[in-house]
Amino acid sequence: MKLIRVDMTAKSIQTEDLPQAYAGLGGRALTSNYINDHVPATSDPLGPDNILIFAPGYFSATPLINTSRLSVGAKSPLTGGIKESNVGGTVAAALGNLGITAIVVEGQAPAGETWLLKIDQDGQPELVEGLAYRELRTYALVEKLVDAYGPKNSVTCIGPAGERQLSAASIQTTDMDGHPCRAAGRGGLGAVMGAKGLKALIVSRAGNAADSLADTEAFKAAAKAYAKAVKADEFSGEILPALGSACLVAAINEVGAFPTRNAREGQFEHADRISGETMARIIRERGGKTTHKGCAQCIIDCSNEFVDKNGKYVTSSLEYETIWSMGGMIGNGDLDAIARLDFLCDDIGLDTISTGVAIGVAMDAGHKSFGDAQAAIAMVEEVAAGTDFGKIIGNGPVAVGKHFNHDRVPVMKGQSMAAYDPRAIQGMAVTYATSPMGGDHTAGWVVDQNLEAFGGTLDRFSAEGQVEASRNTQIHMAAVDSVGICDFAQSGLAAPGGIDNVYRMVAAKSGQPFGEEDWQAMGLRVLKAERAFNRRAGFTPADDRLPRMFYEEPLPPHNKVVVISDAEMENTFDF
Amino acid sequence: MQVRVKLYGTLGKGVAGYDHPSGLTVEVNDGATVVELLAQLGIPLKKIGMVSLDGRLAGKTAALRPGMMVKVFHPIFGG
Repeated sequence: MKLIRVDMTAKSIQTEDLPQAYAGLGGRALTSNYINDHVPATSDPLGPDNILIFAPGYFSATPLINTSRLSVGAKSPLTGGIKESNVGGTVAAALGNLGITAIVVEGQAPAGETWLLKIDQDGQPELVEGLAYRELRTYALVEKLVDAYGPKNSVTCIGPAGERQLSAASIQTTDMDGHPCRAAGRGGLGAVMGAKGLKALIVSRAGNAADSLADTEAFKAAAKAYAKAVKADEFSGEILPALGSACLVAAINEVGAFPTRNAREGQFEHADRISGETMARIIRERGGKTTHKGCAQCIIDCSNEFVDKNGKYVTSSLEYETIWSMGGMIGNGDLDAIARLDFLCDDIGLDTISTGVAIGVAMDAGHKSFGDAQAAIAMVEEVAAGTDFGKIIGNGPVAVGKHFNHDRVPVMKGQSMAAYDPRAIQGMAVTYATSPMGGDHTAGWVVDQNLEAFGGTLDRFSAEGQVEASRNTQIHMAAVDSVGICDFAQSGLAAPGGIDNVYRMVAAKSGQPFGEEDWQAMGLRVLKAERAFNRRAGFTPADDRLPRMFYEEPLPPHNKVVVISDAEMENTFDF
Repeated sequence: MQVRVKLYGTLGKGVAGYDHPSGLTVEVNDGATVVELLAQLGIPLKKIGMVSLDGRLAGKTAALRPGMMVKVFHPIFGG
């Protein structure tokens, strides 16, 4: 349970025991509480007072499957509030296996400096001068780092967008194949890393010092039962391996909740061309990979490797959110162009969601036509080239809206919504508006309650029950993001006794009793810390709203608007 | 009467002759419901997340009409 503290101003590193105040915390619980405790809420997100913290989930590097989840926290340059963005790949397992609970990056290197943080197989950290890697795109960077340091490392890095400190910059991390294609995309944390002068973390995957478990046998028994449930589940055991998260395209489009052409419509006429079914068929025909393992300890294999017509690697993994943001949202029905845009964002170090929505806003403002995929590719390339317009795109949808004086900008707290239009699934309006993260689908995904079981257990066009569903899911997700179970492995929770297995594992790791109340308390502690930070940063209940377009513009084909009142939004959290 | 059927995700795997791009034309009894169609296709209800009839979400007992487009979806989680 080590905490590595890196001061980028002094170029000093200290390794210490995790402070007692954070005992038993991992992932989002650790990052959000640490940021709330240590970062002045009104500080400049790109200044020396901000802190960038990396923390594996509490279960990372335990015997439990699907737990290589890394939370990254800081004050966000995109929202101005607290941010936790989490990512898979191999780094969380690698850090956990080195017994590292968190890396805290403080201060700021002088402009013009570039540094690497290398952690060897004994968990020893070292700052290495990295000027030779400056401005490299992520794939080229990783290739050079493999040449310099060997292949047995996990690389977590930024591309040119992060170095330019652009608000939609991501932090990319390597997958099982060593591709830097996994993104902590949301909130512009790549810009914070760039502002620190830190280009990459190079973490040995050869660690053998994972935290001990208080009761190994009890942990293993619960982990085995959990894994069995994940395998047995229809969605995680069969559909995700075959189609990946792209399986959502057809379903969400069918119900008219697939935001199309900057959310002017809820259905995309070319959805069939970019659906998961079509994607999987194309990948198979071209000799690419479905059922691909992207993350350490994964048993779902929802990843894929998309290849071109000659069978050459284009990107991994093509996911639902990107297929939407670079597809329907910009009116583009060309899956090859979407794959190219996904690769470019990974390579330049950009959040695919914010970037796609930024392009959508530009097209909506008349800059280019919807559906012009080549124009979209050119806009993303401008970010890498560092042109004035590239900086605007790289700063996300709000910057684009300001540039064009265009007010149809689908953001909440400055961060774009994701691939579920809140007018067609009212519960998502609550999550988007009230999450401390800003527009964020993973913070409280309430789509299933609104659609499944043959049409939903909630009326998706009504306010009734939506606040409660979102509240409960947001509390639950805050806990899930803290233990570091992959979102898609939550099927293990849904099985009979599934959540009890999670309680048993927390207890078996910590040696302390843990139950339902503790789970709730963990989630609430996270949200309370995040909301406290945001209040000090200047957020008020008036920020828990959606842009006017969602209240005023009926969304075809169902022609509904958001009907959640301001009072209901404010009732979501009473702390 | 006949209805057109599209099966999403991996639902088509268990249905003989199913080809996703073209879908399936199925002969059902007049007045047949969604669950009756699913039983006829041999698809267990636990494999179903939602069903749409001509673009509208439908319950289990919704009645089919001649020529309808029936889209059958797997459970979802996201995203």
